[in-house]
Amino acid sequence: MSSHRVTPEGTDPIDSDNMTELNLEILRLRDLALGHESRAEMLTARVEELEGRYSKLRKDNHVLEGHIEGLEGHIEGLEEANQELHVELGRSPIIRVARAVARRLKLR
Amino acid sequence: MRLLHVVSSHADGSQCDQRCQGAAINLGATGQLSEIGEQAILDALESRPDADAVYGDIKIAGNTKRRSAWSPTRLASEPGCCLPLAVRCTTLAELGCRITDPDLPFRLVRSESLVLHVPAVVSCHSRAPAGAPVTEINNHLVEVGIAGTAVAGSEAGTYRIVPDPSHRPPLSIIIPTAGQPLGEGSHQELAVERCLRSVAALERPNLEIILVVGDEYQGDPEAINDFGLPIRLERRPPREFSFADACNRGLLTARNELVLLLNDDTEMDPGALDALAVHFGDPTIGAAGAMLRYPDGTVQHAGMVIVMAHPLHPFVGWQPSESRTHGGTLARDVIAVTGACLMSRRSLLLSVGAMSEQFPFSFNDVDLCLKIRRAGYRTIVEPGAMLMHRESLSRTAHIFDREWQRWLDRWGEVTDPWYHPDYHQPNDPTSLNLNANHLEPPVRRNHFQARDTSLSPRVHHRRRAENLETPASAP
Repeated sequence: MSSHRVTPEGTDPIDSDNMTELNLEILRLRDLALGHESRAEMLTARVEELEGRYSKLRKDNHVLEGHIEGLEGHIEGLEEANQELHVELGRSPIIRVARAVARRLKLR
Repeated sequence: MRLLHVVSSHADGSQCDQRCQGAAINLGATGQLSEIGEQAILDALESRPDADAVYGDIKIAGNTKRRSAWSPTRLASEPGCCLPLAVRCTTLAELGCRITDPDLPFRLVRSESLVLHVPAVVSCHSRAPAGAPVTEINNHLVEVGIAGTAVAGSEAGTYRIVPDPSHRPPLSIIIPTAGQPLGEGSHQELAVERCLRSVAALERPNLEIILVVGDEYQGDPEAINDFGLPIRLERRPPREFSFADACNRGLLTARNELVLLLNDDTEMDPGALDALAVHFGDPTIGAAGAMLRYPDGTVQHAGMVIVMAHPLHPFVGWQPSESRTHGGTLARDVIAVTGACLMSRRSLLLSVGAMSEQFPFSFNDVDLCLKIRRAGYRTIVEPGAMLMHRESLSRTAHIFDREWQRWLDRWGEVTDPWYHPDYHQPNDPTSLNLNANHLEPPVRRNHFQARDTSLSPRVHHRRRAENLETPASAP
């Protein structure tokens, strides 16, 4: 909200000797001050609301980070299990037979 | 606290223990709480420990009756409008009364209690709960300083205030005018002359009329027919027209504490001035507006509502009697009234900066009413005061972007507690009107958060009665 009134030097109504103009300027200033107070209250309420939402989001984020950590742990476990599976697969009978067949074919 | 004492007759309305943490409600012989009634009342009181009482919507013979938020002025027009009322036992003990006392709602008003409204049906009745008798209303009027008498209104259970003819406080009427002709026939009577003629016909003593004129005035303002009224001319210096500036100039020169801002294209009905002025005996009243009709007799203004940040006029285009089912014909608290006819206290207007020049054309009246409310005073509309308004002569339909932005900056998040949340949102909120479509609920809501009319704790302090007879001084 723009409230600044540009006046040539010496013509600011607050300097006026005319009582009506001076009183009107007092009214303008009171109105502006009240408008600023109202806007400040509105913005304070909005900031409080946003802070509340931010705080809730931080809590949610914290919970999500916990979930992510848990999931990362699960992934690590799964990767280890996968490696073990590969080792296990290398030892399995069908693989041993397949490798033996491959070696014999090479010798021919 | 999970305690609601349900009372059904005068015999069992005895005063509760001051230590009781519960609340009492008088359902009368035929009433019963709805399915959600008890829960809603106790939840409301639990959510607001500073609240003294709570009431809700009701069903009468199966028909839902939606209620306005707490309105001390409406209570004097329709004393049953907040019944049944659930009141904390501690409050009853403090007030020294029983839940069945007919003047209990009035006592809550006078003690500036915080009363909540639950916008959902809390009780069902075979007939409307009976409000306080007229003697209690009149006692209340005396207590709050209103020099008038309540007489039966056009509907059962409603009343209107007839001002005491001996009490006519000095009044300054401020009329900004551009001297526009009515354009009817060849005699070219000016709108302001027609307005003055209607004021003169009231034959009201203690009047001062201030006509504020500027460069835009068409003709010689000295030649205005004064109809024997004590008229003073206040001339604006040459500059762009601003309704707010014109009103403020008139206000500064006004000699009386009670002032009326009036458009020059209005005509007063008999009794309009006194019907408005009588309310200012109550020191909590900050502004009062009238019901304005178009020349065809339909409603142009009967108080304003704010919906989604838009100030709107309900009942526009209705016959005045058609607004009755929604309380449109009753004196009541509203969020704002039009500046076309706005009565207030000069000292109060000066203390809040009067009409804001931030809003030269639109919103200056709503802004003023919100500033008055913020200062802790109430705004009411009195449909007993009627005026005819040729709105097109004084109003531009256009809303300037800069004014709209300033409005949003100041009051963009204001909610209107007297507009029931069940009502429709308007399809076109920019129209500044709100026709019949808004008064039926679109869908059933499943929430019933209690509403209160307080803006801040400052609202709940007792004010010093202001003497309207005192001559006004500079700001």
